[in-house]
Amino acid sequence: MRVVVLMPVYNDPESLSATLEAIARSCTIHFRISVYLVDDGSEPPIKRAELPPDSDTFEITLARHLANLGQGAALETARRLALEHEPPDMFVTMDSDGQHDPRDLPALCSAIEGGADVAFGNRFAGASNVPFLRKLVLRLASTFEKALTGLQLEDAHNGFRAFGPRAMSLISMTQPRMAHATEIKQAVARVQPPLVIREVPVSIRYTADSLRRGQSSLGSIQILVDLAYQFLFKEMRR
Amino acid sequence: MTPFAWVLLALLGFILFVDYTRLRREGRRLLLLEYIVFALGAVLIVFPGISQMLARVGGIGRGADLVIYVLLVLLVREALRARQLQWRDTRRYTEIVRGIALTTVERPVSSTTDRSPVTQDR
Repeated sequence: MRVVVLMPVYNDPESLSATLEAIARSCTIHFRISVYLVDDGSEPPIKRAELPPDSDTFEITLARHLANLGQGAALETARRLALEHEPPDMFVTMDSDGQHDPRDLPALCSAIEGGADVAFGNRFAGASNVPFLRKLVLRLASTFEKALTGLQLEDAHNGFRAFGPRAMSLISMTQPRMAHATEIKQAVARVQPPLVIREVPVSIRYTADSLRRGQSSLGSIQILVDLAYQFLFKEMRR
Repeated sequence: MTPFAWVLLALLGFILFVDYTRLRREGRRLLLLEYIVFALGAVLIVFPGISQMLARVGGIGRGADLVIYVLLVLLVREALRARQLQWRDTRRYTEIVRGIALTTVERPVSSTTDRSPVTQDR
């Protein structure tokens, strides 16, 4: 079974290498993994030679943004790149900073194998050490997104997700920054006939370093602003 | 004229001078528009009774309030328009950077994946 992993990376080659090594070590027992890695303007750029080597069951395709655009834009680039090829059995999106545990990847893929079109990771059902403020913001975001999309998901903004080929081909992201997570749910909710959606327990590791590097809780305000602009301006000609 | 009116006029004159040196070659139309708007502003500064009269006709009361209301509406409009253009340009910029990224891909050495494009909705 072939799994495509869509992974944006920005300025953290050590965590990236560790994450890719963990995927190559723990996931290739079950799957043939193709990673579509998009370097979102890292300085210095991510070098292919510093990443784990390709093998029969693990390969990396690397694309580079010449400037930093944001996680949503990098994921969309990876998605388009992956769709240029023969569709795999499933797609997985995950972060490169080590917060997502590759050992959860088989569970997400099992949900797709079991008939789901989309499997969202749920950090609250897994062994995650979510800080109190983050938990509060995510609960509020979950309520907001339920009102916006009608989808009842416990974890609003988990970047660890799996998609079947049909779902992935129908979900394009125009939000370059973090609002893409809401945009994905909006797109999922719009598809007719409705997609089968599951939530799968995953663990997210919060460390002082990952909290410092990652999105702050105040980033949720920027997400609301980005969504408001999208609502106001989306009909504008490109 | 009050001392503050003199200060305002001096400020207008200074801004016009600076913009004249910057825009006289490549932004003459913009400069002309600025001259017209600033000339109207200068008239209202020198003759505040005009804005007072217009405000009374419009039922606002004070001439200063009339100017502030008009400016506020124009500023909000301009802010939204600027955001709209920024939103569009960000998307264009994203597509350009993405287009370059997609043409300079480092592919796996011995890839087993098919390279044929698929015609799916993007």
